[in-house]
Amino acid sequence: MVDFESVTKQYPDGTVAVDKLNLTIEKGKIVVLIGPSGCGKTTTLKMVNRLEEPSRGVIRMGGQNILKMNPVDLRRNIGYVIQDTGLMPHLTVTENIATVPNLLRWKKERVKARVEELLHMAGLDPKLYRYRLPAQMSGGQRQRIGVLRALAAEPEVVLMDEPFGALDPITRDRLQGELKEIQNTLQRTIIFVTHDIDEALKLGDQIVLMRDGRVEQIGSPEDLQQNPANAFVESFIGEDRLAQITPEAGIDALVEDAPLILKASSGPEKALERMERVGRETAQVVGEDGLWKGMVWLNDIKNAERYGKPIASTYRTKRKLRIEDARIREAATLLAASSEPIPVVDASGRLRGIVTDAGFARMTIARLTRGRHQKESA
Amino acid sequence: MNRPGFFELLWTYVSRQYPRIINATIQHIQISGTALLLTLVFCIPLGIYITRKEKIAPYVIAAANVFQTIPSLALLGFLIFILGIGNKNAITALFLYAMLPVLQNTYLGIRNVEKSVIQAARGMGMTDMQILFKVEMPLATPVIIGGIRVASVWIIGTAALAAAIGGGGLGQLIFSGLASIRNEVIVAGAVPATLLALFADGGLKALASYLEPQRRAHRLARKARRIEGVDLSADTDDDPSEKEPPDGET
Ligand SMILES: Nc1ncnc2c1ncn2[C@@H]1O[C@H](COP(=O)(O)OP(=O)(O)OP(=O)(O)O)[C@@H](O)[C@H]1O
Ligand SMILES: [Mg+2]
Repeated sequence: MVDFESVTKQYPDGTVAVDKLNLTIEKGKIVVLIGPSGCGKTTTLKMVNRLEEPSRGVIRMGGQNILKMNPVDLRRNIGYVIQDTGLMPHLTVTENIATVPNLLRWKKERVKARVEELLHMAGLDPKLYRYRLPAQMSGGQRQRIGVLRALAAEPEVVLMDEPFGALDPITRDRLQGELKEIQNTLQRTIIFVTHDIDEALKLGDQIVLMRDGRVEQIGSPEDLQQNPANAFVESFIGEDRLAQITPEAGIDALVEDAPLILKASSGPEKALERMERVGRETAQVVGEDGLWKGMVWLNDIKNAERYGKPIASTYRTKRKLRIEDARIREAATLLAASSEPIPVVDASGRLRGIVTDAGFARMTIARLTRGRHQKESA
Repeated sequence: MNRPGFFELLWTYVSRQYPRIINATIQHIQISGTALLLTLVFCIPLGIYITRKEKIAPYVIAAANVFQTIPSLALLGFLIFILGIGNKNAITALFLYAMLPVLQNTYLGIRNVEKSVIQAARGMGMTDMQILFKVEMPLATPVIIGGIRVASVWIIGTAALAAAIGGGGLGQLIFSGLASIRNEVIVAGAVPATLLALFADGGLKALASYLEPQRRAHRLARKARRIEGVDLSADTDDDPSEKEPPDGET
């Protein structure tokens, strides 16, 4: 459907954003472009709808050189979701979605029906949202509208530039699921840009991993995971820690930096002041020798201050995990009993960090979404 | 020894001379209106043009700024050498004087339209003209109207000086009042001029708020409800200011 033949893009200032790119995108597939920031993903997309033109090489769509087509017609036949939604702030949701159909002069009734259909498809009640402005929608809703706008005129090819960037993991996951469902029924050719490897593995039929304007590897998600072409691909995909996590695995993947560490020498007033300033109920205390002394609670310290006791009298030392031998199961049990952070120490008694319920939830979500992908493609 | 009070004098003057006051007001509107129209017709396109020629933009704006900085009376006096005495001179001077706010606001309003929105518009296949009229101009409208408000108040106020070079308008009353030391005549000229400026400013302000996207969305929703009998109450009946997005996303 879309073919890049040795395409190079050099910007006027000399930056080579894309270097001799060869890529064939099959009809009805999702191809994900991924790579570190600045590797040329957006530039590659923009060359497809001629917002940028290649310096060298040819891009064909349906076998035809796109430079021979009228750019305005070309663009109206390609859906485009821009990196930061680019919704028209002065137009309603309906008008935003209807942009391209209106440019194509569809009949009013047809436009209206299409908008309703799309809103339903994305789980947005038309009655409620039709006349909203983008500013009256949440971030996730806006990104949905951006995707619907790109699909509105039923284009063969859809370009999506980080359509779900800057969203919380849960919303992002839901939108990814919706996109997969939509794609299952509509079968568009989608070029999807992201720099989130989990998103790439989940959505892509084919993944193009780029670095500095060059392709490092092209292949299916399985290819990339099982036969990484080089060390860069391997490190980008990550050593698949998540897939190995079981209740009996070690807790390394869960440990995060402790946000508030107090010195054992500080008095209760100082400790209180710091905890209240950062708004934390708990803190870890470390002595001059660098060893972990215990965990303290805001309320305990308040009492200690009232009765003129040192904070050492409030240390709690029982509830903790040892990084060397603690299992994820243990962490889960402790968190189930109390959602407060669990301190993590090593054999020599030094503080290594904490385990929190938020971190646990993040890991579980990432793992479940990854697991689903692998089941689906198996 | 019973000298009439100020209000009595004013009343007498107005009741005798109201045709003259009305005439002067109409002339004042004509002079200001022509000058404002000239400003808009010239400065809005020029403002758009210089957003496309960023290199010359600072020079064009600096030039407009020069005219605005010259004291208006001096500008009028200077133009006598070129255009002679009368309304034409006055209109030209007012136009030069009021260029800056319209030019600058058009330029800034259009230039500050978010680049991502324009990229999206172009990426969806809008032509340059469609981008200008469907995206850039509507988004710049509040800023442009802001400039027009400033220009119209300046023009209406300064138009009073037109009389100094033989033009018409309410300035005639003010100047003749000054010359004959008759306060009631000055007031009979100054009050309508002030009211005109207030009306123009208020009218433009109302226009801007009528054109606000939120207002427009409400009108669309109400119209749809009328035509289709669809219940959109959840969407339209509450205060628009409550409809900020729930999360602080950019
Ligand atoms: N208009 C431009 N002029 C000059 N250089 C540019 C221009 N646009 C992009 N570049 C450069 O080209 C390179 C590729 O940019 P591009 O936007 O394609 O990156 P990206 O992979 O999309 O990155 P990100 O993940 O941050 O969006 C970068 O080095 C960038 O600085
Ligand atoms: Mg990008």
